[in-house]
Amino acid sequence: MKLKSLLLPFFIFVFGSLASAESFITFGPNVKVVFTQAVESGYTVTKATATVSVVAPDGTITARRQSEVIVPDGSGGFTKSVTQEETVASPDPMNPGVFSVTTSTEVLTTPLDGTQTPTATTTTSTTVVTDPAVNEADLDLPPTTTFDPLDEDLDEPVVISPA
Amino acid sequence: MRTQLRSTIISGLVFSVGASAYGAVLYDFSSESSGDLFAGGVTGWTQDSINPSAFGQTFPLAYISTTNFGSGGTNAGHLGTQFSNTPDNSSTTVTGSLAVPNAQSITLNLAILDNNVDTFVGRDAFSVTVSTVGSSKLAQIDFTPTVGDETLWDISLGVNGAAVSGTLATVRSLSGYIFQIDFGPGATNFSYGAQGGLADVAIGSRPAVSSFDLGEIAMTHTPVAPVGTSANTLVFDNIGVVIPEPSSSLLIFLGLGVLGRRRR
Repeated sequence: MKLKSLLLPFFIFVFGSLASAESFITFGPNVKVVFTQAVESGYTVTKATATVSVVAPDGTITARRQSEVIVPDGSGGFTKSVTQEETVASPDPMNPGVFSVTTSTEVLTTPLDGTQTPTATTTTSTTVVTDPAVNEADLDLPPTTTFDPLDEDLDEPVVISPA
Repeated sequence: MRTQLRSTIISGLVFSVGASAYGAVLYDFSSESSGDLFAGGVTGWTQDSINPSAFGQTFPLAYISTTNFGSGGTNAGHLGTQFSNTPDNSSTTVTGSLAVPNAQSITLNLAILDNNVDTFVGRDAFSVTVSTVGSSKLAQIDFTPTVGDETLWDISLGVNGAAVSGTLATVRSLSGYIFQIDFGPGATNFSYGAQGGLADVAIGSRPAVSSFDLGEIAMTHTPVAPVGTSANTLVFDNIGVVIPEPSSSLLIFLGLGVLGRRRR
């Protein structure tokens, strides 16, 4: 398996502007955004989610999940909700296998008109939940949507007659 | 949309294949830029589904990126779920214009990219379809995930819009291949080989196609895995055809097409 970086020009082109505009998660060649359908307020809408995770040398795990959904408001407009959730799990040096977990969740809500242009400023609500002692098996961190970029060089297959 | 032959061909538009046949590379994407999107950004091609957007950005289902089919990294077409997916798990097709009358064969490089140790364990199906100008299917190659081997895709073949039927042939992920379809008066023969070589290993034979006039070629990604669980891509490049001794008018037509394309 050959895995190394590639597609740099492509990602600068496609994702470059986003990285500067949205710093909660830096989108690049190792992040896949997962699009699903969800039912919100009775409407079937598209939900986009991306999750990245980093483990620091001291064992602290930081997982960031960002999701976006745009829901009709029932009067010709829409409401865009962006949820930015950061979970920091810090190992307890006195209790191996136990973490102190803090989850900060920001929900940014923006009203949009029929063309999905903002009609008012974005409002933000923040919640923080801390659990001082969580066993490693119970961390329940969100699964990442990252991967190692594939190499541009392909393998030379051995092609033999299938018959 | 203008029907036009895209060619950058390595050294000229039409080259002799034999005493009475000529070949031309119609799409090698060398005039495109890495990151160009098939949804309106690749000349001669269309895409039937919308690239999903979120966080103020579009995430492509089909795009141009660099792949090395054995002769150095060059632009190639990419289609699949490496960076995005259709929210409803619907298929995505990109279609390129061919407009090649009386074709003897068509060749192209193909590869399926999938990292079988990443977190995206799902795998999907892909297909290559050659059709008439009126979109009547002439020949089709399907790739479906092999059961029991996460690195292989089974190959099925079909002609004239009939259901495809299986073969014993497979392709391995992250490997480069050349495929060829020969349109004979009595049969349609499918073959393949390793990238950079000849497609000299027979895959299967099917009845003759109903027309030798090629109108378009389509690459389709068909999700098989649950939505959002795959990150696999069909890569295609160097799509070429072989035609019998071209008439002078066809040569002129092809030549004008190339000149037009190379001005970009």
